[in-house]
Formats: sequence, C-alpha cells, structure tokens
Amino acid sequence: MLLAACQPRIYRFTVDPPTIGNNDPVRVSWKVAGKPTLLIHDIGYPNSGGGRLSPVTLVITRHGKEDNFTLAAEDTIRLPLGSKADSLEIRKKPDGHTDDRLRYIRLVAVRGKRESPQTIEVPVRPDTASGQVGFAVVPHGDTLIAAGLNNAKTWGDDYVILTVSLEHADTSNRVIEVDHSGISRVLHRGDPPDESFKGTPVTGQWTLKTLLTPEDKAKHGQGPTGLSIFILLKHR
Amino acid sequence: MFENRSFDNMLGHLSFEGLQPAADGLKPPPNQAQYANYYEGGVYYPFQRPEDEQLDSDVPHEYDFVATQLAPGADGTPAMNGFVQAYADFTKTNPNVNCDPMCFFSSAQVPVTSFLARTFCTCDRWFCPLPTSTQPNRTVAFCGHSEIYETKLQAIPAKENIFDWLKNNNNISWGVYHDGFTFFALYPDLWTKIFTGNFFDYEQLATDLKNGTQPQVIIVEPSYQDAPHIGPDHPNDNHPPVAVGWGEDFLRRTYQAATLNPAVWAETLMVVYYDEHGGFYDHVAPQAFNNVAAGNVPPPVPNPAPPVPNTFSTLGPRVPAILVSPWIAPGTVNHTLYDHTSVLQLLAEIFTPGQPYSDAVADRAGQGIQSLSTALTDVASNTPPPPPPSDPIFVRTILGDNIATPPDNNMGRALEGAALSMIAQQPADVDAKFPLLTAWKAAVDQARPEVGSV
Repeated sequence: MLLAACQPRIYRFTVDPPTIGNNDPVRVSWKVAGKPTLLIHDIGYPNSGGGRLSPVTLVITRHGKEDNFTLAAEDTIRLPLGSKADSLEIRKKPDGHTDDRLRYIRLVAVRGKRESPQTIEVPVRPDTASGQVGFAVVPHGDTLIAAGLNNAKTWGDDYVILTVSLEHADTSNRVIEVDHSGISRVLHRGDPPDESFKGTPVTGQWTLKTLLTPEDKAKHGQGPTGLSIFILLKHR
Repeated sequence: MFENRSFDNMLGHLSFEGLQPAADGLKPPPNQAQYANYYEGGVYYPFQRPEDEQLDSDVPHEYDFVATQLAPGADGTPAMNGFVQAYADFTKTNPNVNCDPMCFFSSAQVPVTSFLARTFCTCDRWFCPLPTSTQPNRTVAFCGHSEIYETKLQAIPAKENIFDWLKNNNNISWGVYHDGFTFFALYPDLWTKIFTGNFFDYEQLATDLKNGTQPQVIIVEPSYQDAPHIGPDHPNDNHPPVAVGWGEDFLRRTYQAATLNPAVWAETLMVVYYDEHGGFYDHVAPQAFNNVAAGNVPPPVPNPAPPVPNTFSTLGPRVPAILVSPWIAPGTVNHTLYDHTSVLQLLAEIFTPGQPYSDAVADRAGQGIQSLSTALTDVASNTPPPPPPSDPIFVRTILGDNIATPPDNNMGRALEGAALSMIAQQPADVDAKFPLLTAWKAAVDQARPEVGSV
C-alpha cells in the first residue's frame, strides 16, 4: 500500500460543464497525489473541415484572482497548480470568433520522474450546435430498438433540442420512430427537420425504433448495428 | 511481431488517403454510420490523430473488454461498435469526443509502415487468432494453440512450440534477435533455449544478414513497453501508451538489415505483424471460428452470464500485416484469410511437406485459415528493394517511469516477475545475455528495499 502511494495519481479531475457555449466559464477541479500542472491548448483535428484556429483570450480565476492568457492556435498554457486538491474557473473573453473547436484541458501529476496525465476535451460550441444521439440496436423480432439514457456528462444542462432529423445520420431510406420526453414522432429521410422536440433537454431517455427492411432480410436479417438521429441544439 | 494495434489504427490510412484503394481500410468521410460506436447516447467515429504522441493510458484488450468491443448481435456476428464502451469501462472516465481507441494514423505519422505496405503486400484479412490479449495470442503464434486465455503473472506452457518443432524437423536453424528482454522468458520451459546459443542481441541482426551467417528462421523482438527498462533503452513495440515513432524507426532498421545482402534478400520473406489489436477500433468483424476445436482454452463464462458471453467463438480483431519479399507481387493487397498460424503453415509446407505443423494448426487450416504460401509468387522479382523513407522520426512521448514503483498492469507484472525469477535462478546467464537486466535489478533493490520503506 505504501508503494502505491509513491506513484503520482489523479484521484479526481473534472471539467464542468463538459460542453460549453462560446463565452461560458468552465469549472476545473482536481485532487492528485504528486505535483499537479494544468495544460490548456486548442486543437483543430485533421479532416475536421476547420481552418486555422483564431487566438482567444482566456480568463482564469482562482481564489478570486483573475489572470488573462492569450492562447494562439499552437500555444499551450502551462499552469503550475500548487495545491493537490482545488478548483479554478476558465472563461473565454467575448470576441467575434464563432469557431467550433475542441479545447484540451490536460492535468499532469508528477512525482519524482513519473508522470500521470489525463486529458479532457471540452467542445466549445456556437450558440446553435449540431450533434447526434445514437445507441446500439437490440433486435425484437422484425423491430430494431436502440434506446438508453443520453449522457448528461457529454452535453451538460445548457443545451436544448431545436430539431431532430435523419439527415447525415443514415443514408438509407429507413424510417425511424423517435420517443423522447413523452413525445413520439416518425422521421423519414428527406423530411424537413422536425420541431416536435423543441425545448426538450438533449439528455434523458431516448428510444429509436425501426423495422427490418426487405433489404435487411435479404442479408440474413442483418440490419444496422446502431441507430442514430441528427440533432440541432440551442444554447440556453 | 509488434504489439497492440488494429489494422485500421495503423493501415486504415491506405484507403482513407487513396494511397492503396484496394485495401479494406477506412474510407472518408470518417463519420459514416458503418463506423459508428456508441456510448450513453453519444456517437463516436474514427479520427486521425493530430500527432503521434504518448496516450494517457493503455487501451483495454483483455478478453472481457474484447467481448464488449466486438458487441456480438443476436446471431453472434460482431457489430464492432463497443470500443468506446469498453474504454469507458476500463478508464472509468467519460470518453472524449475523440477518444483513443477510435484513432488512426496518417501515412506521414507511420512513414515506414505505410511505405512497406504500399511497396510490398498488405494483408487486409489477417486476424489475431483469439479475441483476447497478448499472452494467449502470442502463444498461438509460436505454439499453434494456447492453454491460457488471459494475460497475467503466470508460467505459460510451451507445448508444441516453434523452437522444438524446428529442432525436431531436420534441425532447421533458427534465431531470436531481441532488442531488450525477451517475451519468451514467460515460458519457463524455454529458458534453457534462451541461454544456449539461439538468442541474440538485436544489434547483431544486421551483421549476420550482411555476412550471410543468419539462421533459416528468424524471430525479431522489439523492446517491449511492459518489460523492465533502465538507462537509454526505450520501448519500440508500439504498445500503448507509447507513441509509435520508435517502432517506426525499429521497423526501418530491420528492413534495412533484411535488404543489406542481395543474396540473402533474394531468399527472404519478412513478415511484419502484430500480436493483437490492443483495444483499437477496427471496422471489419472477425468471422465465426471454433477456437475450442483448435485446441484453445476458452475463458470461463461468469455466473450469472453477462449479456455478452465470454467465449472465443470468433477470431480476434484484424491486425496490421505486411509481407516484405521479392517473392510477392509488389504493391498489392491480399484479401486471403490469415492469422498467426498462417506462418506456421508456411514453415510446415517448406520444411515438412505433406505434414502439418500440428493438429491444432491443421484444425485452423480446416476452418479456413490459409498458409502464407498463397501470397507468394512463383518467380522472384530481381528489382532491388527500394530504400525506406530516410527522414528523421521525432518521438513525442514521456519517459521516466520511476523504478521504485512496480508495474501497474498484468503484462508488466508478468515480464518483471519472469525477469526476477530468471535473475534469482540463473544470475550469471542473465548477466551475460541481458546485462541491462542486472543493472535494472540493482536499481530496483536500491529503490525498493522492502515494502513500506519507499
């Protein structure tokens, strides 16, 4: 047991909320064994369609004291944290940029020559964001059901549904019945985005159902292994 | 044999970038329904890593996690959509939008692997034999079957091992060139062989090949991530969390060694493959396979049984595999069904024609696993082998594991345990064969004098 205590450990590292609007603050909290350092950088993934990310100014507030940091596309902010357990707030200063970007917040605990890292990606979304909800299917006779709780840890509580549709989510002519927040609708490919779920939370129970098509049955009953829908969201 | 990468992770870029369209890798765009993985309502797709860098942690690949990754449907066909779920179960974190098991490398990030795949022959239906971890899959590779089903601190039986087979069949010469500690230390029955003339330092490989003094069958071992390390030695087996840059350099040096002597190269088949997928996503479902009939021990089914049964009723996931030789059609993709025993089938065809390597390997052949001979041409190419990419490979990774702390995973514990047992039982042999191990042990003794005092 004492040997284990010699290693750097990250007991807790959270970023809340995990998905933020353009000017939202996030609360970063940690508890580690070892010397903690926070690293922050933005990233544009290859093939993600984004251009070069514009610089942003981050305001980091800790114990009531504010510090400004300018974060350019390839820079990294390194913040020695001192305390083994504490929290701070990161907020982006309002500017004209509306990049849809991922912010990397990385905690590294060091003890001796050994490091223990953990990275949390925080998607920074514009006021109107898009995404998907989906689950693996469970067959029930000729019906395929994909259902479950949409994880609040992914979207937080600040986004609500504007529309749902099948666009981008399925290239077949499959019809999907959607149940969520006590509302049920049938979606067809090519239909305009459905506003029936407007204002409902993105989190919570979703159920997607579809029937095996003649094409599926011709392939030994092999339908899709998962079902998903495209969602348009609005930041509260 | 490298460690722990899936076909799509290392070679998915071949089709994604249009470099080798015939290869069944990933195809743009990556956010296609056929690639989707699901975790608590989130939909996850393959993504190209921005950089080759050290990962936050290993990626799960023990049999129970592999069962989750394969996510078999009602008829047992793997859906291949549970990789993110297994990662979340393993790390006990909410997976990032771009989480490690779904990543793949660009051609620029794996320049040597990509070069060899495009120049020689890519095998895009090579599966690891068992849907489980390192030790069972490596045992099938070198024994034809496995009496273990998981990786842990254990003495692994070496029944029907390749070394005895080579010796007992016309005394075929063989050698293991190891860049660090050898994996075969996990098989106590093989220790005598390790210390008696057939195990060589990797640095001797190029010299032997250049001089034409190499044995007929060669196994090249990288330096393992999970093995004891000390001094400037660093892992190059591509096992996460380590970055793959060192492995790329190791592969380049091995290819350069294989092509040094034209006469030796003219008779060479170099097989580059991986023990298992390491928990990384691959989009091709492994086919149904009766592994019990092929002599492999299945894991026990827990009681009560989980929704996904822990049985070995399929092959393991696809792994990267490249055949490098003047005896293959250059620049081709081979879609034949292979696994690690395809190598053993080839050896039997060459050295014991008409007689299979073993009943277990014959059973696998009977279930559709082909010999590597199906990829070979009748006439060798006399075109000189092209040089590999020569650009320096920069590795962004973290070193500095504190020797005072014991390994925190089963493979690390197994290799460290084997090293300590070897040192205790045959200290002089170990000092001669693995001098760095002696230095490592001395450092461990100083850093860990007794439990509780560090």
